[in-house]
Amino acid sequence: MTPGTATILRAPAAADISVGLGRLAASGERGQVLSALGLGSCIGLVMVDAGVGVAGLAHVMLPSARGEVGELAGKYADTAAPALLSAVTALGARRRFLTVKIAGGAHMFAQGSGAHTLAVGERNAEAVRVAILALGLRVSAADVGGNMGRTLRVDVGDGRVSVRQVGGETRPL
Amino acid sequence: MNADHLAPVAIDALAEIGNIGAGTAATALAQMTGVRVDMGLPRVSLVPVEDVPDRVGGGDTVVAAILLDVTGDAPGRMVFMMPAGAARTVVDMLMGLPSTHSGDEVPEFDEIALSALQEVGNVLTGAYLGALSTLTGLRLEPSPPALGIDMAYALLATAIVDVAERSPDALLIETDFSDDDDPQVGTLMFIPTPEGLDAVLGRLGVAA
Repeated sequence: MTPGTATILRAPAAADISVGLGRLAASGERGQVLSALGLGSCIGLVMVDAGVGVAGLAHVMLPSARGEVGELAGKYADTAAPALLSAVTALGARRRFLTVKIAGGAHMFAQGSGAHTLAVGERNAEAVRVAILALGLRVSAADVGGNMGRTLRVDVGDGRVSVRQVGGETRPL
Repeated sequence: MNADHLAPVAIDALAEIGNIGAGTAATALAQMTGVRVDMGLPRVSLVPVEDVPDRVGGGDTVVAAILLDVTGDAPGRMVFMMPAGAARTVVDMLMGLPSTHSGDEVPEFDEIALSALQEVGNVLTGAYLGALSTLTGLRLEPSPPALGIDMAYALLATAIVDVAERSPDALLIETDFSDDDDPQVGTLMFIPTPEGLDAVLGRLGVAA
């Protein structure tokens, strides 16, 4: 098992798996939902093979692990992408049928005179794209940037991904 | 730095920092709003950075969070987080308006309200750091405030990104504020960097 990969839950069906900061999870359980609540500058990275009903989600916090191998592969863009790929392919996802989607990377704390340092959202989005390209994959849909947080949900059964922001409708990604 | 290495005497010293800093900040908030403000016991915790948003709480509820960088002898970060409704109430009090917020809906904040919230952050943080500075003799400078109104988890995760780039753990000194009408007006957090933590404990004659 890849370090940092969450245990794949077999039961009960239809249970949500909430993927917290720095974590990643994959599932092949029809009816299960993977979610990343409150993505701010973080990126929710999704890999789905809808044909076999396998999906994975990483909640990426920072661009690079800088060569350090920690316990949480999902924490960094450059470790999360390969770890998530391993996790979904281990469950039967086929590399050539993988759909990759990303959401998040907002500039939070955009109000106020002190909104200066926190461009990490942009850096995260770029780092995830680069890490996906390095795997020979490409991001097919992205909902990134802006200055609002997002909650992302992935339906494992049909591979549908949705994004919601405060005060907004749930929209498909 | 990890939780096993923070001695009980260090935790006590940091709780006292929280007590004195937040006590001064609570007084400042009371003077601004004209309402008595009470504070809870400070909480000191050293947790993996990934666990900070869950540790502080709030999840996907909408909050107002004011963020300041602290520079000087004990660098770090300060965050004052208020439930959105409480933030609106504080703004209304500052502006002498009748309370406009009711129910569960997310209140509106116009430019003036956003400025008022930043000023709340300035005053509270200034009071907290001033007290900490007097106690330790350390020079502490807050940056101008940055403000976000959004999901608590999204704001907290972003607020600790700078810490996460340098350390696997974050030290949190949290104090809750309440008043007669509202048990949860806000939470004031001081998050020193590892160097900032060493500087504070060094001045207090306590080893981490």
